[in-house]
Amino acid sequence: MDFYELVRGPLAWFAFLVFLFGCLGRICLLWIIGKKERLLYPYRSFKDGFRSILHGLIPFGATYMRERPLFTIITFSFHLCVLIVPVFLLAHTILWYESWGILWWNLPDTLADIMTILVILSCIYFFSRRLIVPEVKRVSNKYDILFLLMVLLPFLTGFLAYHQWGPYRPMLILHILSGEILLISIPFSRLIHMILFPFTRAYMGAEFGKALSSGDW
Amino acid sequence: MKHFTVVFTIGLFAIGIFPTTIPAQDDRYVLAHDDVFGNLRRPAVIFPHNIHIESLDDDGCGVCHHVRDSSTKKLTYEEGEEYTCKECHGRKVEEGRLALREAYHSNCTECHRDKNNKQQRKAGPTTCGQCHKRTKPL
Repeated sequence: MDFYELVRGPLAWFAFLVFLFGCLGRICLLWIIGKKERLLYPYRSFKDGFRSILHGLIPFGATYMRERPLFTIITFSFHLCVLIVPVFLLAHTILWYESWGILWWNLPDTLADIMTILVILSCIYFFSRRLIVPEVKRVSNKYDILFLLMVLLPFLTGFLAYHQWGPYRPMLILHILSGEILLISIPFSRLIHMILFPFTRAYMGAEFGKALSSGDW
Repeated sequence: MKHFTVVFTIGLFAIGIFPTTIPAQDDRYVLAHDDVFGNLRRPAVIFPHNIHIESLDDDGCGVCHHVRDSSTKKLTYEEGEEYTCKECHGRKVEEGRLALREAYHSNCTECHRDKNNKQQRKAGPTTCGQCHKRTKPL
């Protein structure tokens, strides 16, 4: 079996299984820990929790977003593109069909290209922000840069492979490998916010709900 | 008059109206099918026919040139009925027949992958860009 077949076959299986069961494991773990928690239960509020999730999902829906319009636009477009492009890219849908015999809608190529460029530029923006903006720099460490690079790499190599710039086959293998490393790392890193963000926001919303509805102190 | 004919013919070759080399047999086909797909989303595929004839010696022409047997509903090879793919496979799935794009991908990639695995050597490409090359066809 050649290296392409290895990364496209068994390693892809491994990455998807680790991602799936890793994420399920994290949710189960959180649920078990949550059941033991007694202190916060009196404060939980579904109304405040849902309100916080909703405001977090709407662009400019929260104060911190309105205060940073450029950051809000970039972060929203980045997150949308990061999720939509891998699932609906033509080449990826063909691979799903090859493996599973299911075919779904795919993005027009020019739009997919623009969305990929947006992800690459956003990563550069986030990287510069972590190095330049003092309050962000203060809370950044080497792992923040590493995770940014891990997100950037599959999109950059995918873009280069699609346009067949550089050595095609090594670029494609690097693209698939970097995507698999990213998938595997999601359950075990801060990238798990992809799955856990509703819980985090609901918790924050429930906690601050009381403060928001109380008078100014 | 004779001189004129010679000079005229050389002139035609020189300005490229006649090709300087004429292949003995049309071996390489350009698979594009913009009549089926409309605007092509990937570069056309250059298909070397002779390599496939030689490689598929044991399996026969029916690997690609198959027809559906109306009684058994199975794909069989009928000599003299070597149709091109697009004569049966259209842009979309029809009456259980694969769409043209999927028919090509299933037949080409799966066969290449099978042969790569069995023969432990490169039989044919299995990645997108190795068939859909971004170079000018022929």
